Amino acid sequence: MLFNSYGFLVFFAVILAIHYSPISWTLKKVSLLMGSYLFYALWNPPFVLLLWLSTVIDWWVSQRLDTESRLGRRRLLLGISLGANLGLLGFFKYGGFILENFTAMVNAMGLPYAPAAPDIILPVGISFYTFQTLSYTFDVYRRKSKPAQSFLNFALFVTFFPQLVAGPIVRPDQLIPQFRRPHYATRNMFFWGLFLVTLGLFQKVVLADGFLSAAADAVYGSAVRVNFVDAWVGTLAFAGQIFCDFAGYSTTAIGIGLCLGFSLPTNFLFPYAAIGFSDFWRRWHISLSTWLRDYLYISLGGNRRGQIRTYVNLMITMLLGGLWHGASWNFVIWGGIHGLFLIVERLLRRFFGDGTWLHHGFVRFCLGTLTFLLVTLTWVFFRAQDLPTALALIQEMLLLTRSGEVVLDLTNGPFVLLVMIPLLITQWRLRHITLEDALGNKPWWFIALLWAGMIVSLLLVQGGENAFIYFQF
Amino acid sequence: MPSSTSSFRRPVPVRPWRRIALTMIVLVVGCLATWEWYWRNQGKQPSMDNTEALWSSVRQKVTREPGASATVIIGASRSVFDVDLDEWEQAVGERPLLLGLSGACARVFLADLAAEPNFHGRVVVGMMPSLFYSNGGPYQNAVDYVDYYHSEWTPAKRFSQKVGAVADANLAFLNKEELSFKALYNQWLAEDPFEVGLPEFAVVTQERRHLMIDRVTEDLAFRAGIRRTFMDMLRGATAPSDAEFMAMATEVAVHIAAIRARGGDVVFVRFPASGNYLVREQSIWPRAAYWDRLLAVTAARGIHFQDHPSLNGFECPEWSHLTVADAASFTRGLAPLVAAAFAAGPPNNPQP
Repeated sequence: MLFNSYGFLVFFAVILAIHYSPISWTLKKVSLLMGSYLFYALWNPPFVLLLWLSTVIDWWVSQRLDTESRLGRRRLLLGISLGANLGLLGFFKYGGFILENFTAMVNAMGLPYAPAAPDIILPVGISFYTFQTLSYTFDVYRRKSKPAQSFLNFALFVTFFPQLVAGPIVRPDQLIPQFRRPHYATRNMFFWGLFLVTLGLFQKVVLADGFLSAAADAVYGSAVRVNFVDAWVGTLAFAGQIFCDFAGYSTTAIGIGLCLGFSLPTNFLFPYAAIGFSDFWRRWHISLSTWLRDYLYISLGGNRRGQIRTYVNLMITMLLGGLWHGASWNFVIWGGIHGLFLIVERLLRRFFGDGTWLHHGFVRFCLGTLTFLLVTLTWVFFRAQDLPTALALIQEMLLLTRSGEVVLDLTNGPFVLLVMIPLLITQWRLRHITLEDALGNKPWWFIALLWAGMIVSLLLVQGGENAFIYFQF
Repeated sequence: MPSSTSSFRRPVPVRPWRRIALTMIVLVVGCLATWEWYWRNQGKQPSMDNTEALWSSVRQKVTREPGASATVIIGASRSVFDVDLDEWEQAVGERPLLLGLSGACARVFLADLAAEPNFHGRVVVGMMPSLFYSNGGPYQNAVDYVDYYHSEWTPAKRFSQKVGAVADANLAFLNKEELSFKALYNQWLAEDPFEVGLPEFAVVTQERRHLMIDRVTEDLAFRAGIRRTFMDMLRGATAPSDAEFMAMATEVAVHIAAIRARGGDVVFVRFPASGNYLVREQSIWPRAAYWDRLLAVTAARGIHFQDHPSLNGFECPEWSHLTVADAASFTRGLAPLVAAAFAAGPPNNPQP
């Protein structure tokens, strides 16, 4: 079920009504759990079984891990959880990709092999909920967390509908303790939650779908080679679209959680105001980047095994982070480029040190602009259908060729600048504070006007029920 | 409302939220009420968005009662403009399902129904030659809708469509094709509203019936623009070659056979056209070659508007569709003829 749908409004109203009805806390949790399964099942009912499988296996593993002291057995239990979750992910998400590349490799060796194309449906949210349950198993294995005492609390942690399908990827110690005792929203929480829901939907429906997607689709779906200006405008449009779409989802999820009295972690912190790629990954999809840092990068050794090994670990983490986004070499390349930029940044830091000139406002602005432009260039690989298209666009954007044509017009081009300029200015001005701080100081009538403006815009733009981009991951 | 402490808690701005929310509600209701009032004053009425979701909401009824009989009308825009569902039900005691789609090829819908194992009903095929014999855009339009139904029509979307229909049926400004921000912007950009495409000239009901708006008959310039657009659509159009025709007709015959094998039947209907459009249509797709011959090859019955006094003599104001009043009269004549054709069963063996 999509947040940006009439059906969700009704669903959410019913969930709220049950949550604030005079029934026991346990019954409320059960209704939240059933509601979450229904939320997922309304997309494709049989795939609820995968959620169940992941839940039951990790519950069983974590209970055994808590009492098992033998290292070999503990590793075996961890392996079961890893095998089950990564196996599910591998089959449903990467099965076709693996087969396709295996076939290409075998054919390249001169061996005839042409298997039937698999028809595997990608379960929505599988990348998110498998990573969420894996973080739980890892934390129990490392004895960082105790396993949940209640299966209901654990099942709700896996399935909690606001963040089930596209994050934020929540850590067990962030959410499970909240289920132990009755949680209700205060007036501040409830209304702030509704405001965030509105803001999230505004970002998705009005900005991403209404104003930015047309230009991005026109450029990336063009049958002809696109010229320098349109390549940049189209890619800027996609940069804005993917931010507004994904941050919109996270904001809506956080808002829904708040309305129910639960706190979900921030997932975006004005990423396009980042200075450097390390800063970017502290601001973009924070729940994924911290997951990769804590469970992959650190497990590989992090920066504790020398400079070269640090760079290798960084690159492996970013390559796998890219692959997490989708079964395509484009995503791996995207991750690899980010890894490369992270490595280069570390080298530059070693070379330039921490001189005072680096803290000068104008220098930081230039570095921030450069970071944004480089991030935008990497989005080409993320959005392009295939590598040749991505390379053709990059060539145009870097003026390596000048053979492109105009594909954008007044029906789609102007909106990109209309949205992106204020978006970038806002992000730059708010880069040191949170949204709560930014609006917390504003007059009440300003917040009311802003809120009303977003709702009216939502209804005037009349976006369709388009799926969020990260649903495909 | 009490709240408990937890180890993780988001900061929340402390503001006078009740005042903020009330002010917001007043502003939103005021703005939207003004917007709705403005468009109602402009003559706009609530109309369903003619989307894949709306089409799917009717398509799912085809299999709602497995084994039950149903009459489904497919085709292009004439099949949804020219049929009055109330008149049809009054005439023959059954209310058909409208699965026609403007600018779409009926052969795709016929194939879909032929492949639907739980469909045992009857199909009325509105045959508009420029679209029926197309393998290009109109064909793909229909494919997109059918594919949406089979791959994206999830329970969530069904539920959402039901809920959204309440708003669409009551608010005139919720007309995405004409009154969304983007649609208004594109109209503002264009010097001639017909530059951005054919403007909306019908109100769409939940059952997908298209009701022609009064502006078509009252605003001569508007009507002339629609006529011009229709004639432009025929510019450069060609009829299929003999081989192409036989391939299509054979394909259609196979679908008809599948529907008949499950106890159903298929009847073709040629809805009215007028003026220069009819003349051009008949010159590109002569009746003998593209109507009579289709019926012969597919061994199906056909009802041509020119063959029956109760169906002939209607004037399509923009040369291609009937007004609401004429659709009612036309349907009073058509429904019994279709019922009789179904009752008579298939004619004798197919002829090449």
